[in-house]
Amino acid sequence: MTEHAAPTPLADEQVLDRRNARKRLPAKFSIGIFILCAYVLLGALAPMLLPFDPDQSNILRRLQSPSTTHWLGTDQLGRDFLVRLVVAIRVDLPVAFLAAFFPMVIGTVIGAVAGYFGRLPDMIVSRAADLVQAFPVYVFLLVLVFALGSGATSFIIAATAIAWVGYARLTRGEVMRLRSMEFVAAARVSGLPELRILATHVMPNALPQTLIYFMSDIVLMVLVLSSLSFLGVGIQPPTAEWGRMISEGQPFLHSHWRLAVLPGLMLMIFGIALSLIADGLDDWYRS
Amino acid sequence: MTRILNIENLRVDLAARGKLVSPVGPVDLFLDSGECLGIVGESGSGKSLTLKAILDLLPDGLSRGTGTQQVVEGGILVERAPRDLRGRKISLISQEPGTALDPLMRVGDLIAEIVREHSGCSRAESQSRAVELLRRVGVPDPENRAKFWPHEMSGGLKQRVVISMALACESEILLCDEPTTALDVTIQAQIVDLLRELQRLEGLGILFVTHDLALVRQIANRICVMYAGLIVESGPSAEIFANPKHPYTRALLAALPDIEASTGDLMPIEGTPPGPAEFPPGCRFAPRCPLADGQCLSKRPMLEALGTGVRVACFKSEKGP
Repeated sequence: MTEHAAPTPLADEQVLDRRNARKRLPAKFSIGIFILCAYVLLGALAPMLLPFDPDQSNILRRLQSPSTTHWLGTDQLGRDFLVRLVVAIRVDLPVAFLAAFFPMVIGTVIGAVAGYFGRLPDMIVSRAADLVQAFPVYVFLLVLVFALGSGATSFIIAATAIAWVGYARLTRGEVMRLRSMEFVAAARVSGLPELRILATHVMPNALPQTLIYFMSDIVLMVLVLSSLSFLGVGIQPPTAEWGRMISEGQPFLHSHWRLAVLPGLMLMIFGIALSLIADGLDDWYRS
Repeated sequence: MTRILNIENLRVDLAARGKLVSPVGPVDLFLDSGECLGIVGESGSGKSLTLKAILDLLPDGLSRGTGTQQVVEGGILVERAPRDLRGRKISLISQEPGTALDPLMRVGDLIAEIVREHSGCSRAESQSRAVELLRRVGVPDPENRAKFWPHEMSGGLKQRVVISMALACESEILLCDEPTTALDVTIQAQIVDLLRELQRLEGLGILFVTHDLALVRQIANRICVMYAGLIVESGPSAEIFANPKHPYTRALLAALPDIEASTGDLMPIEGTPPGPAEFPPGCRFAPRCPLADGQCLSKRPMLEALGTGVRVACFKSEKGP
C-alpha cells in the first residue's frame, strides 16, 4: 500500500469510547451447568461406582426397602434401584441430546437458506414445515416410531423428521431480520460473496437464539422419550430408562411410591437444570 | 478533473398491482474525481433510494427499473453492472453507524476481512493493514482499538470504522447516505472534516445525500435538488445558494433559518410532497407552486441548462423574481 498523507487524527479527549467490563453469566446458568455436570459425571462413572448389574433380576430380593446394601432398595424384579436410576442417565441424556442435535443442525441449515435467499427455497421450506406441523406432534411421533420399530435409533430419526421444523422457523425468522440489517448491506457493499456473508455475518448473529432453543428442546426430548417409553414404544426393557421405570413402578404407587416418584424426580431435576441454562443464556444474550 | 461516474436514466420501480409506480426517476447524475456532489431533498424525495439504486441495494419490493452507469477504468468510462461496482469502484456509508458493523466481530477483523477479500493477502498482513486504515481515518491508538467490539465504540468512532471499511475496498467513489444524521453536531463536524480531507488527499469522489442544507453548503461542490423522485435543479453549490432558480429550491432556502437575517418568520412551503402513487402528470411541484399555471399542471418540464452551469426543470424559472 502506498504511503498516504494521513488526515488529522482525533485528540484523545475527543474520543468517547470505553471498554466495558465483560458481561457475566447469571448465577442460574452456573447452577444449571453444575447440575448437568453432576448428571453427566454420575452417568459416566456409574458402572465403576456401583457394584450391581442394573439388568440382573433376582426375584428373591424383590421390592426390598432401602438398606445398607441397596441404598434405595430394589424394584419389582429385585434389581438395585439406585443403579437403575443412575444408569438411566446413560440412555436418556445421549438419546435426548441427539434427538435435539440432529434437528438443530438440519433445521438451522434449511432455515438459513430459506430466510436468506427467500423466494422459491423459502416457499418449499415453509410449505414442508406446514405439512409437518399439520399433525399433532405426539401422534406423528408415535406413528413414525411405530413404523420404524422401537428403540433409540428410530426415536432419534423420528424426532429429527419432526423437530427440524422448529429450528427452521426460528432460524428463518432470525435470518430474515438480520438480512435487512445495515451491516449485511455493508458487507454486500464491501463486495463480500453472499455465502460468506451468510456464514460469517448472518449466522453467528442468529445462532444464540438457536442454542437457547436447543437447550429447552433437549428437555422436551427427554420428556417425549420418557412418554413414549411409558407408553411402551420407546426404549425397550430391560434397559433402564426413567419413563419406562415410572410406568413399571405405577402399580406399586401405594406400597412403594419411590419406584415411580424417584425416576420422575430425576427427570424433573434434569429438566430444571437445562431450563436454567437456557434461561441464563437468554438473559445474558439479551442484556 | 476527470469524470469518474456517469449515471443515466436511473429509475426505481415499485411493484404495485398491475400499475407501474416509480418513486425515483428517471434521474441522470455524474461525478468528477475529487468532487463532492450533494443531493438534497425532503424525506421521501427519493434521494436515498437513488443512492441505493446505484448499487442495486434496494429494499424488498423495490427494483431498479432502468438505468446505466459508467465508471472510469484505465482512464475511460465503461459501463458496469451494479453488483460489479460494490466494494470495488463504489462504497456506501450509511446513516446508522450503530447497525452498520457486525456486532459479533472485532472492528479490526471486520476491516481485515474486506482487505483479504480484495487483496488476497495473509491474515497477519490484513490485520496490520486494518490498523493502518484505522489510522488513516483518524482513529487514535488504532492498534488497541482494532481489538474493540463495535458496541464499545462511540457513534463517531463507529462511523470512522465504516469509512475505513470503504477505504479498505480502495473505492474511488463514496456514496454517503446522511452519514452524520445519527451523530451529534460536534461529531458531525468531525466526520464532515474527515470526508473532506479524504476527498482532498485521496481524490475520492463523494456523493453526499442529506436533507441538511447547511451541511451540504459546507461540503458539496455541486448540488442536485430532488423533489418527488426527480432532480429539479442542479449546479455549482455557490451558484444555487446565491441564486436559486427553481421555485422549490427558492422555497427550500427561504424555509432555512438564517442566523444573520433576524427578520423573524421562516417561510414554510404549503402542503406536503406527493407520494409515488399520486405524482401529478405535469411538473410534480406544480400543485404547491405559487407560479404554476396550466402548462405546469399538464406538461413535465425537462432539465435545461442556463449557462451558469445550472440546470433547472421549470417553465417559469427565467421569469421568476
